Amino acid sequence: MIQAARDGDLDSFNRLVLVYQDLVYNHAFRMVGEEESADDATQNTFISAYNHLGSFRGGSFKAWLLRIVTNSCYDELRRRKRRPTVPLEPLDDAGEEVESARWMVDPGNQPEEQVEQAELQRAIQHCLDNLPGDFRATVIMVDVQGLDYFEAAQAIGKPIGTIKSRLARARLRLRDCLNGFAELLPAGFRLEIG
Amino acid sequence: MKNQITSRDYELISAYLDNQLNEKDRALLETRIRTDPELRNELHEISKTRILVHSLPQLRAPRNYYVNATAVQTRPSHQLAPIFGIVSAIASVLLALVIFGSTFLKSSSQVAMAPALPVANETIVVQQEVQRSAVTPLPPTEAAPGVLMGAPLRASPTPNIGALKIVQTENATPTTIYLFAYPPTSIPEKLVTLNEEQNEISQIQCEEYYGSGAYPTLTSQYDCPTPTPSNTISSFLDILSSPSPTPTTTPTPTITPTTTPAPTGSPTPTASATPTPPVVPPSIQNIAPTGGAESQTGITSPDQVVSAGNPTPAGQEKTVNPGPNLSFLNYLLLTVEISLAAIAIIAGIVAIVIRVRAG
Repeated sequence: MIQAARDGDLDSFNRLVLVYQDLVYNHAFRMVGEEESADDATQNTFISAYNHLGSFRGGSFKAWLLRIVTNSCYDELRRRKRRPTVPLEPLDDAGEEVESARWMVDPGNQPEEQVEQAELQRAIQHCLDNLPGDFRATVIMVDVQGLDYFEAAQAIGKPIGTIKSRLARARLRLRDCLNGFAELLPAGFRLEIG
Repeated sequence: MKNQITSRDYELISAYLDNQLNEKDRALLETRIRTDPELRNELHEISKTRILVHSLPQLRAPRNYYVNATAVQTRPSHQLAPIFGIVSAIASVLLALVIFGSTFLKSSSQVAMAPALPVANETIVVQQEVQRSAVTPLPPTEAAPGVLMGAPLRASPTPNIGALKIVQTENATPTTIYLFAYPPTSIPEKLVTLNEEQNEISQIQCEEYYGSGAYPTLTSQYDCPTPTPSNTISSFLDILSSPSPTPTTTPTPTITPTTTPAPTGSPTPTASATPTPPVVPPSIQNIAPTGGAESQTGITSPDQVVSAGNPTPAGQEKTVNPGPNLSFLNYLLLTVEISLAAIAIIAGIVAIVIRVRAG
């Protein structure tokens, strides 16, 4: 399928899109932490992948795609940094914005366990967003996407030693960050540092 | 105990949790974990963090990201922004190099370009200002003969703006003298030397004329200024015999161009600009009458124009065109500079517009 796509078969490439689009979108969302930006990054990733299929020289197609989407997310983050946007927050009865509205959304009929799980996911995503870009990409590839060190090194384009170092430091920072959300962590996962 | 855990230990712990350690490192780390409770605690904390991050759900794509032919063939315009930016940068660098190169070329070829200064065809141009600047001030006793002819002494080597060029038509009998105000220009050394020689010859002839007793009967044969008591030989001898001539200095370097109203062929515009003034007898100053407003404007009145034997037709005076003297190379450099500047500006603006539109 990859070879057919390299020969210009668009249908073959679209079958590859169906296989990898969840992986690419998930990685993009964890990198940028926003649905719209993740959607744009995913679309740009597949367009760029098709245009540059000639530069794919074998190996892990998954790692190659993750490298493209990571760079696309870096572009998206830089663009967002140049033009920061302020999300529209709802107003309360006094006409003032309700801060952290997403954290105060009415869970409705959701079970309490699901609500706690959603809050925990937001807390983890919040800690991921606070990581430097290189650390974030590494920990997402290894701990979220499940790549081994060799694939992560291929996707990031750095030696395995760099991957080990970045991963250790990223996990240390995540540990310190999640320590601030101890009330959201399950009893068995509460960190004892601090 | 906690400060004993280094970043290297955290890397070992992280790799141990991912099962990325070799047997030797694994055995060493497990031994340390059993004996070091702090290291064991860190291992547990990092393990929990790793599990928490791994617990994030795998999100599904909200839609299918099919690639169609139009999306692939349509090149996003924002991808062209770096190209325009690079073009602008290259054009800017080339422009800087061309400007630097042209400046260097002009400065290096300035000496070689000097002989090509514009000189009127078939005319003898006397730049009196430059001539005066080339003459070394002499002591009063030696300068007196020259002063008799009204040749001004000027110590300043730099001609000022408004220096006078006196254009004398060739074979003019009588001579027509035109005064024009030109910006200061350099003049070849040969021309200055020629003028000095002509001036010396005129001085000798006038001395003979004054001393021969033929004066004032043969005025048409001698182009000498109207004699005054101070420019005759007797007055010159009086100057030499005077014990202490009163020195007069003119500290202000103002130029006072004058013309001799008498029909003399030797134009003698004088200037009293002497920043390092020599000692000048008062009698010498008398023969350098300050010109009126007419002579300062550079337009000669009929009285000041000596009648010429080969008169120049009215409206056809031969003048030196002071316009730009740009060679082909200069025009080429100017064209290249303008083109590069235009390319740099346009490409830069296009790159900025594309980036702004792309967000």
